[in-house]
Amino acid sequence: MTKQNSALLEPEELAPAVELVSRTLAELDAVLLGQSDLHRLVLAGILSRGHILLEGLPGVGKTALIKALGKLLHLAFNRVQFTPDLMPGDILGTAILEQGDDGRRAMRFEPGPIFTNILLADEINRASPKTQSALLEAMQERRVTTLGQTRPLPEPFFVLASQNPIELEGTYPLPEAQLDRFLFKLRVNAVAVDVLEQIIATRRRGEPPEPAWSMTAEQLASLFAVMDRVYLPRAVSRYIAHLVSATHPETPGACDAVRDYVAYGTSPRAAIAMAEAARAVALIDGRPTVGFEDVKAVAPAVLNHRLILNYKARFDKVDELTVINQALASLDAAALDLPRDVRLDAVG
Amino acid sequence: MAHHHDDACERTVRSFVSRVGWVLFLRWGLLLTAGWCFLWGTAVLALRVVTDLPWPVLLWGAAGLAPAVAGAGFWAWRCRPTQAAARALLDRTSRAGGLLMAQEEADLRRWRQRIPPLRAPAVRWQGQRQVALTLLAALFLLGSFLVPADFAHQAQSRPLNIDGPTQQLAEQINLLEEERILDDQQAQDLRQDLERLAQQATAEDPVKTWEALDHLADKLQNTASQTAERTLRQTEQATQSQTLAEALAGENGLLGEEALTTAMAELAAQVQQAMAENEALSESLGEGLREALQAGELSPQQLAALAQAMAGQKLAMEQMMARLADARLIDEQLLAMCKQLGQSDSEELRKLLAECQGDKEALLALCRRPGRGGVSRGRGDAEMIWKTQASSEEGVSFKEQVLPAASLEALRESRMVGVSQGTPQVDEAAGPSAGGALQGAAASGGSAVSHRVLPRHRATVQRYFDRQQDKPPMTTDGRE
Repeated sequence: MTKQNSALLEPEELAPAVELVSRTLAELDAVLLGQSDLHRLVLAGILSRGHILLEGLPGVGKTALIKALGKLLHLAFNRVQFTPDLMPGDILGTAILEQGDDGRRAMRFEPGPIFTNILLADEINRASPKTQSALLEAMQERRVTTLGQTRPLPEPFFVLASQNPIELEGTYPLPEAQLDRFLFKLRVNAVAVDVLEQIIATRRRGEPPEPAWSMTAEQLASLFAVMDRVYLPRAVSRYIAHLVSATHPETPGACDAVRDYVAYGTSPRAAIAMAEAARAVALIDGRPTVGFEDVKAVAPAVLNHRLILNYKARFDKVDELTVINQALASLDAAALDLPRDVRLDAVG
Repeated sequence: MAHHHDDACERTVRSFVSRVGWVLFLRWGLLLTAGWCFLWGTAVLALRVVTDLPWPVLLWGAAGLAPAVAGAGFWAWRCRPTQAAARALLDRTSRAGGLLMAQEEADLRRWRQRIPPLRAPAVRWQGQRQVALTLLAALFLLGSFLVPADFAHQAQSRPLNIDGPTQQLAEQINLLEEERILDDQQAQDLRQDLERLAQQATAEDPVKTWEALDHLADKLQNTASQTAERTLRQTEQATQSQTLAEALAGENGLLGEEALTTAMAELAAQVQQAMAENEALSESLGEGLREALQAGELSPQQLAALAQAMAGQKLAMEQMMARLADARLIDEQLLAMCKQLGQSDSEELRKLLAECQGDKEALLALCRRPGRGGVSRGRGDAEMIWKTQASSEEGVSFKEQVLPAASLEALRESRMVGVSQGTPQVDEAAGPSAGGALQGAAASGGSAVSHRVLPRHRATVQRYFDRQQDKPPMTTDGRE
């Protein structure tokens, strides 16, 4: 179990990490136009060593983003197109009967595409539940067990999955247990008109340019080391805990939207994910400590796929983001617990 | 310098906590003060109603304000935000990014200078409601002191208003005293009783008061009733004497000397008896008339004067009875009786005296004959007159009564079955007739069964009785 270092990162320790992060973001923004906020969150997810689920219409650049990220971070990248007939062995690997030079036959394990740093699971919701569940152990524990033998996955290991929100026929929605293992669920929207114009004007067949720079493995390792030392104040931890608790309708402090529309709240894994992601955002912003704003920045991405809404939400057309925003607005970050008639003026 | 920066941050945090604490103290202070003022005011009102404590003593309730203020301080201290919470708020409002919060938990080192100037938000308290409540409580407290003592004691004593009944009783006592039915001492005693009753009447026990008033009223009414009875008797006596005096005054030689002497003597005796009971009568007759009465010889003028005096007495008694009736001391019927007893017919008496002058007993009876007071009361010693002749039946007839239509119909449709020669005998051993139309009929002998025959059955029943009519009537011994 890691323990927070009571000494904060020194500015000179933090500066190179911030420089690396800024450059990575700049390269990403140069490769993929018009998605700066998405790039920040994706990088925050990577720095948090979490898996990311990207949801968006076809052609918005999900695969291009992940490919570019892999190149920038100088990480091995494998892509798996999930189809209904995909078997678990197609992802994890399979044993092959092989005959050696001495004529003896033995089973040899042929690793699957999962044995990489970044696994792009394209249209993950098209694979069968059996195949989807093959990723559970890999995503949580970063290891694979096949034929009774457990094999660790490469470090770092990320699953960046994508899914199409409009094709629901012939798909298998991811179960809540697997959704919970994704750090973020990010919505990839279509770009603005001017960005689209720029893409058309500057890129033939829409192909993104190659990144001009990539991070070395040592640099990436140093980033992770710096991430481990970003300080989470106790008040922010308390705020994250209250926020996760406030997503449960039975909690006394739950807001009206949670009480009316949420069937099941988020798990403690969401609180852990939020803490890690908030650290990443603080690092990206060049701070050694996490503030309340960092939590609010990552909360929608962390919580939106973990909340289970009831039928009333469907009837009233209320989505997860609406509920999360109301929960954020109703919760007092500083927890002063003042009487209702004592107010604090907003500082201009 | 870093140290100074830390101190500045600390001061800002403590200042914010202090400001919030004072606002909370003011809030709780007003609430608890309002609560204490309501309690104090209620206690003041209760004590002023139940006891006679002077108001400076009641001011000691102000000592309760100290615990209220202390309580407010305690609650404000408990509810004030912690240093950590204040830091978190200031970190957020100043956009310190967690540095201010981390300052308390970790060594910031050179990051201290990166903490931006702290901007504490202004603390606003929307305390209109609490202020209004406190003012209301203060007004209530002030009102509890200022409410008039009379009102407070009135609420305690709650006298019973019996002015109406006491006024009426006082008037009745005055009337009885004026009419000399009550003497001065008796009237004075009754007035004192009435006054004491009026003073002691309270709403806590109205039953006793009303019972006492009823007892007093009954006493006055009994006194008046006794007086009325006596007055009725005296009126009757006066009428008797007046009638006799008038009869004798106008006899013009109809009566013989002996009868006249007897009647005079009787008159004198009656008047002497009346004078013994009525002092006013004795005074109104005069010396000459009294001497003449004693001598038993009165001239016609004296007799006339005597009759007039008696009439005057009757009038005075009737007026007194009227006043008693107006004051509701006696029933109106007694007044009516008094008037009726006062009616006299001297002419008739004269004739009767002339007829009975040979019979001394009858003469005396006539002299003692009471007035025309009617048969409803009459004198208890009045002579009973029996008539020996039986009343004749001439002109007497039975009262006619119309029979009901059903009975007439039944009679019209009835057929004579036969005539028994013996007397009807009741057979007690026989049970009730059973079956058919006779079901439920009483035992044989004299009972008629009333059963309505339907129209469609009438012909059958008639044929039955027609067949019976062909046969000769049967006797009770079975012989035809």
